[in-house]
Amino acid sequence: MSTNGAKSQRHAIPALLALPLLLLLLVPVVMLVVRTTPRAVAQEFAHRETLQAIGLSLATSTMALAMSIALGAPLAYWLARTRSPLAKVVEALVDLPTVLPPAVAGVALLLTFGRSGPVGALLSKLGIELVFTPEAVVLAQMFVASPYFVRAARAGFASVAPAQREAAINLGASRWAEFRSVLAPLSGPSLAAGAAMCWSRAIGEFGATIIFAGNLPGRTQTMPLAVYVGFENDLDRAIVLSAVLICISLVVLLGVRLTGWRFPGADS
Amino acid sequence: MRAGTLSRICVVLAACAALAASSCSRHEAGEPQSRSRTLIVLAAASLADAFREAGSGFEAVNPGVHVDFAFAGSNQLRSQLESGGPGDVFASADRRQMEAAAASGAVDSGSTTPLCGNRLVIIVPRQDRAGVHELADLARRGVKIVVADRAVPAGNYTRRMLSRASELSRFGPAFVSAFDANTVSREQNVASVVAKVALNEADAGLAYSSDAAGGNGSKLTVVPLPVDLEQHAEYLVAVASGARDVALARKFIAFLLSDDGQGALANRGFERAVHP
Repeated sequence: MSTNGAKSQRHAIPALLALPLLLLLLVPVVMLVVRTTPRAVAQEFAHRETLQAIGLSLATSTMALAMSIALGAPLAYWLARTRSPLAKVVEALVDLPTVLPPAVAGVALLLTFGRSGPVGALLSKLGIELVFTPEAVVLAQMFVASPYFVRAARAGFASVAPAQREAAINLGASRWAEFRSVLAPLSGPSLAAGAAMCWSRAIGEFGATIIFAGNLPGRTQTMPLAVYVGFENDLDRAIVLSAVLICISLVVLLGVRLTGWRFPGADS
Repeated sequence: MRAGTLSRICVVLAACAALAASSCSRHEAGEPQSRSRTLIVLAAASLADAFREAGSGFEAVNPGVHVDFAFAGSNQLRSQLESGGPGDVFASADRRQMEAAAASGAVDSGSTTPLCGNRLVIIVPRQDRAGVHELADLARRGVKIVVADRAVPAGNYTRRMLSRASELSRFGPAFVSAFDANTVSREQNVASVVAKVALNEADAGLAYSSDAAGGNGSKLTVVPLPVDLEQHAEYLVAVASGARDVALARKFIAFLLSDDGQGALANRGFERAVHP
């Protein structure tokens, strides 16, 4: 009893100290869900703009994730393997978008891919204009979200000891077989966790999108934009869409934890 | 070790607090003759440049008075006032927002006065690549138009102009649907409309004539709307119900309506207030 009591007391103090932050993080989220009535959800889901926003968000964030994996995996692999002193600089640069205010990212993208920008002017000559298109939404999402995947994938690749891989090669495995049977399974959980973070961040992207891609229902108005617009015009829509976003993100984040994928840096 | 770090942080924090306190007291001691008074003015985003100029003029003739501004969409400022936020003077970009503020008791409705006028115009980037010379050009295929969302006063005026155009035989509903099909973005304030046109990302936008006189003016060309589709924006100003210094708030409004204040507004492309 006495040792048990002392033990629970020892836990009670940190738990008590943790309470204010937990409440700060939880109560606003709970308030949103509580304010959502099934009737409001049904009503909002009958609106075309609501469904368009959800559909567009799912499509663009999935596209942003696919592109982040396709382009991010090679970068992460290089970062994990290289001994180049440049790697530290590249790593810092890759992390930069995650700490930039999203509005800054939006302006930067506009100045680059806008039709007066260097890349945009070139594309414009080919008849491609990105600003105000769904493709611009995907680019904005990639800009802010892909670093999460690269960071996780780099840690995942780095956690596979070279010895393990050499062993496979020495046993006669081809590069592809080595990748499939050693590298992929060992770094898989990190890749999956990184993909989940990347996707969640992409679907929540707001600031860069509204500056770079604008706001047009059915074309560039994603869920976060519809929430912002709804906050001023139609609070019910803002609340319902916020609740939908929260549910989606919660499912992804919980899924990652319950299936035991680990976030690099979080536990090692 | 850890206690040492903690105590060092405490010392730094205490030093910061002391510094802040001393700078506050110095601030107060600096203006001893007339007690320093601060006026908080909430004004529509489009008024920013003109009000800053008028504010310095007001401070110059009223020693010891300091004017603080908050510029945002009129609708945002109104909801701030309604939820009890601080503010002595409220200037809105349309009658709708001012009437809503008066109805909810956020402003003293008896003090409401017309402040100045503005006009909805088409703005086109200097390197006018789409060749926009008149309203009808906006219906041409491929012209990229940026407008303000209808919740914003500028977007409200745009919608009104379009619904009027749909009734005119030379425009009609076909013009309006072509205009809507060309619309690439509905921005959340008129300043974003101006920025995107000034950056040459859109071929045309609908904004105020005063925007062309602002900081981005050199990057824009103004195309007026046809006379029968003109939209006049009416700006109004009032004393907030929660004003701490009603006399000072009234004095500032009187200054805005004086030749000095109206001059600052005219410099930025605003029209003189029409007093009923």
